Amino acid sequence: MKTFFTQPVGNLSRQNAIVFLTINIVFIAVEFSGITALDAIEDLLNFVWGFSLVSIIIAAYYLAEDHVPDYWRSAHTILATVIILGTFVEITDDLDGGFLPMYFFWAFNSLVYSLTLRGNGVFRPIYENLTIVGALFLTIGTSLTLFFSFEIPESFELVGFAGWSLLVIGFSLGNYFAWGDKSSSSTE
Amino acid sequence: MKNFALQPISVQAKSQSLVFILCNLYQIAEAGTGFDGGGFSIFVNLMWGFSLSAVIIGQYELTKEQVPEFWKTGSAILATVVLLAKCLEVTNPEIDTTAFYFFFFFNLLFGSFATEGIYKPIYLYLTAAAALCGLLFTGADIFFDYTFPESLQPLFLLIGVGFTVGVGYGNYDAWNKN
Repeated sequence: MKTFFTQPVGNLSRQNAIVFLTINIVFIAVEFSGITALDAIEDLLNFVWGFSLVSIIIAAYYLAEDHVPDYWRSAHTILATVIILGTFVEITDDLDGGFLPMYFFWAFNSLVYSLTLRGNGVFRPIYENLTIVGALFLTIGTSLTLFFSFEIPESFELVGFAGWSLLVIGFSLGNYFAWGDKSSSSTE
Repeated sequence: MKNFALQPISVQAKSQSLVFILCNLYQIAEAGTGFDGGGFSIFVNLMWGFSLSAVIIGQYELTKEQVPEFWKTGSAILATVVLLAKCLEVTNPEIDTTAFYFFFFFNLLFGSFATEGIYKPIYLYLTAAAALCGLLFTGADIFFDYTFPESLQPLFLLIGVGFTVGVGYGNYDAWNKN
């Protein structure tokens, strides 16, 4: 157990990227199939979702530290805190549609992070672009509801789902492969 | 005031450990006797969160030779979560902060695995036992809507004692050794 929590940040991030992707796939499968078998552990899954995302965000600073100013470390700490607190709010209160400010903040920061690092070779281009497109979708979607009380029509929900999927895939696999590339280049 | 804020982390963590112990003793006495301290109890409750946050921040400095650097960020997040939980409780006692404490117990339990050799075993085991009880109580509540029967309530005393001695005096003692 000790080795799990004290392992290098890259390993922790890669494991959590896989966990994050898996949990999202489970959520999507549950949403579309309508099965209720996992209702009892929905909050537990939500906690693991938040915990894995927080781990990836903390590690993401170390992935980019050669390309960004030092104060980004504090910004990552703040973002990770918002995610974990937002997850707690979702677990405690049954919010319809989730805790929107958390998703907006995450999407907006992912957009800025990905655009800043674009072309630096930290992330593979395919995942970089997927993250940017997905984060853009989510930033626009959440800000419309959050700031302008605009309810997105049901016919557009599929677009929102596509944006969410792009962000999840780009973010999780992007971090997974970026840490793999970083560790293999440092051992060469 | 300047001297207080700028004192070395070892001094700060030691003083906050003592504050944490005092706050716990007050709260245990309050719960045991059933008296209501009113505004003073709210102040003690807030100080409990503040002192624990300082202890958590100090804990990273104490263990930094044994843990990866990203634990520094993790400690800052955990300290914020604890302090915010207390702020919410003080503002509106009806807000459910169980999930905040679940996260705290989770980190406390698994963190104790990585801090062997820093704390005396007795304090380490007390902390781990308290964290395990806390994890079970809070986890059962938030994830499965299960409340343990009243007959098990004395276990809360174990959590209280484990915290007071394990976290409070354990940290004070560990900083003394350093």
